[in-house]
Amino acid sequence: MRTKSLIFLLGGMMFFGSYDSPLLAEQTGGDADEEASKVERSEEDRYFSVSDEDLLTLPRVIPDRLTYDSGVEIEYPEDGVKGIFATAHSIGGDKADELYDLINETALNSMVVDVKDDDGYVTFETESENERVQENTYDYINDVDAMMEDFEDADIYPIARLVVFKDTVLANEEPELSFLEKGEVWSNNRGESFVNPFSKDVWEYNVEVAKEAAKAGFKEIQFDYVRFPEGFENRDEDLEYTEGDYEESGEDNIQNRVAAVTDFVDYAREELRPYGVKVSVDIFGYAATIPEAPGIGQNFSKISENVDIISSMIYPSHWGPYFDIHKPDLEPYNLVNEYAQVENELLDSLEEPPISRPWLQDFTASYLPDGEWMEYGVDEVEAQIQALYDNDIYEFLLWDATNNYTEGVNYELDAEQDIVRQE
Amino acid sequence: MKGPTKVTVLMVMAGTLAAGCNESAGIEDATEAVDKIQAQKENIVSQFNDILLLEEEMQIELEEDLAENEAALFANREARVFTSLDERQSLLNDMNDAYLTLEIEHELLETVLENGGEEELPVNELSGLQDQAASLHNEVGTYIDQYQSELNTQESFFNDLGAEDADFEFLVNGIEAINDAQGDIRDQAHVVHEELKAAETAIAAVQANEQPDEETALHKEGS
Repeated sequence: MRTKSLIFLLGGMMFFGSYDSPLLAEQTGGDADEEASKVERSEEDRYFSVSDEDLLTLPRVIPDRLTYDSGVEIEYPEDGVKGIFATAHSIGGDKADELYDLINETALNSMVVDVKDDDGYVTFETESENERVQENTYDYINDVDAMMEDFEDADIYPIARLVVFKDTVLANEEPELSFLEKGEVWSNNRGESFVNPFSKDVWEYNVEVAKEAAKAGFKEIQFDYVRFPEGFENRDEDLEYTEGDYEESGEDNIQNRVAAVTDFVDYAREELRPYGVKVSVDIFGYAATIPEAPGIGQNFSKISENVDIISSMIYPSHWGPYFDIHKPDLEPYNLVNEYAQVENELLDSLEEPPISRPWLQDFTASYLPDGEWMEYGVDEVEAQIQALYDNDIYEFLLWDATNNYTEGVNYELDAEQDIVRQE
Repeated sequence: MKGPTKVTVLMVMAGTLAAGCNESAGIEDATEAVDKIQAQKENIVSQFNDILLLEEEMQIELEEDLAENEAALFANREARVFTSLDERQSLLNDMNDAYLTLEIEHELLETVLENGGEEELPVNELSGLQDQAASLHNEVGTYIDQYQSELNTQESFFNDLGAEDADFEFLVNGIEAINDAQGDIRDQAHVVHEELKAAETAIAAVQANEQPDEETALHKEGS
C-alpha cells in the first residue's frame, strides 16, 4: 500500500513536472498582466493549439481544367511576356497586320489590347446582359473571335487592357457614379472624367467587362487607371461624391482611397478566379518609391499582393528630377536601372511577389521643354530593356499611344536570362 | 469506428479482469486504472497534435496536387492529400483505441469502488476520476464521430475533384464545406481539451490522497 502510494505520487510529480507553474499570477512588476495573459494562453493551449483559421483556402493557382474554357489555347510565353500595346482601333482596323508582323518577326510575343478604352467604351460586342456594358459598347473590334484565332495562329499572348476608373462615358451617363463639381461632372484639364472608386456599382461593371474579355479568350486582364484622378488630394474636400462603405471606416481620406483601390483589385481578382485568367495592374512608377501615393490611392505593395503581374509605367519622360537624374528622358538606361533596383527591393519584401513587367517608352516626348527630351529610337528602347535585364527583370511592355513602334530593336539583347516560367 | 466487435471483446476482457480480481480489488486495480487513464490521456493529446500537424500541411499539399492539373491524380487516389487522409485516419483509429481503453478503465474503477474497502481507497477522488473518465470518454467519442464523418467527406471531395465535370464552383463549394465542418470539429476539440484538463485535475486529486509512507519509500528507494 505504502509502496504503491509512493509510485502514485512520483508518477504524478513526473507527469505534472512538465507543465508551467500557475504561480505566475503572483509575479510582481509592470509585466504582471502580460505574464498573466501568457499563463491564460498557455492554459488554453496546454495540450494542443487549435487554429481559428480556415483549414483550406482557394489556391492561388487554379488548374485550367477547373476554370472557364474559352476554347482559345495560348500558353504563357516561356521566355516571359514581351509585348506591345494596341488600341482597339488599331487591332480592329488596317493597322492590325503591321502589328502582327512586328510580333511575328521579332522576339516580341504578346499584345495588350484595349477592351475598355480610355474613354470608357467596351471595344467589342459581348454577350453580357449588363445594361451598362451593352449601352457602352462600341465595337472597334468587330470580330473578336477572328482576332483570337489570329492570336492563336501566331501564338501571341493576348492581354486585355481595361481602363477602370477613368471613364468619361459612364461618368456622363451616370453622374452619381462620378465626382461632381457644383453639380456638374468634374473633368481634368484634358477633358477626362473619372468614376468613383468608392462605388461598388463601378467595381461590378468593370469586372463584368473583364469577365467578358476572359470569355472571349484573353488570358490576362490588365487593369489600368486603378486610381483616383491625379491631384485628388487637392480637391477631395471640394468635389461631391460618396465614400460608400468607406465613410464609416474611421480612417482619413488618404487611407480610404488606398483601401478602395486595393480592395477593388482584390475583389476583381477573386471574381476572375473561375475564369483562370491572370490579373495585372498598371501603376505609376513613382508609387514604388513612396509608401503610398496620397491623392490617387495607389500603394505599390498592397496592390502587388493582389495581382499576378505588376506593370509600373516607368517611361523616362514621365519622371521629374528623381534618383539624382535631372533630365530623365535623356537617360533611359539610368532611369530604368535606378527604378528597377527600388522595385526589386520592394518586391523581395513581399511574401508572394508578382511578376514585374514594366511599361517602357517607345515614343518621343517632344512635349517636354527643349533640352529635356530626345528622339526615341532603337538605342533608347534597347537601353531601357537592357536596364531591366541587368536587374533580372525579363518581362516588359512597350507603349506608344499611336502604336507606331520603333523598327529594328533587338528585344533579346545578349542578356543571360534566368527566366522563371509560369505554371 | 467504435465498432461493436472490438468493444465487446475489450469489455469481456475487462469484465474477466475485474471478476478475477474481485477479492483483491482495491489499490492495485485502482493504481492500474489511474495509470491507464493517464496513459490514454497522453495518447489522445499526442494524436490530437499529430492530426493538427497534418492539417497544417493540407493547404500546400492541395495546392501542389492541383498545380499538376491532372484529374487522374485525384480520381486514382494518387494525390498527396490522400496520404494525409490515410495518416489522419490511422491516428483517428489510434484515438479510437484510446477511447475504448478509457471505457474499460472506467468500468474497472467502478468495480474497484464497489468492492474496495473504504479505508484503503480515496473513494471520493476515485469516484471523481471515474466520472471524469466517463466524461472524457464521451467527448472523445463525439470528436471521433465528427472527425470520421469529415474524413469521409474529404475523401469524397478529393476523389470527385478528379471527375471530368469538376469545375471551379465545385472546388469553391468543397473547400467551403470542409471549412464549415471544421468549425464544429474545432469546437469539439476545445471541449475535449477542457476534459483533458479536468482529467488531469482528477488524477492529481487521487494522487494527492495517496500519501506515501516516507520510511517505506526511503527503504524502497535504497533497496
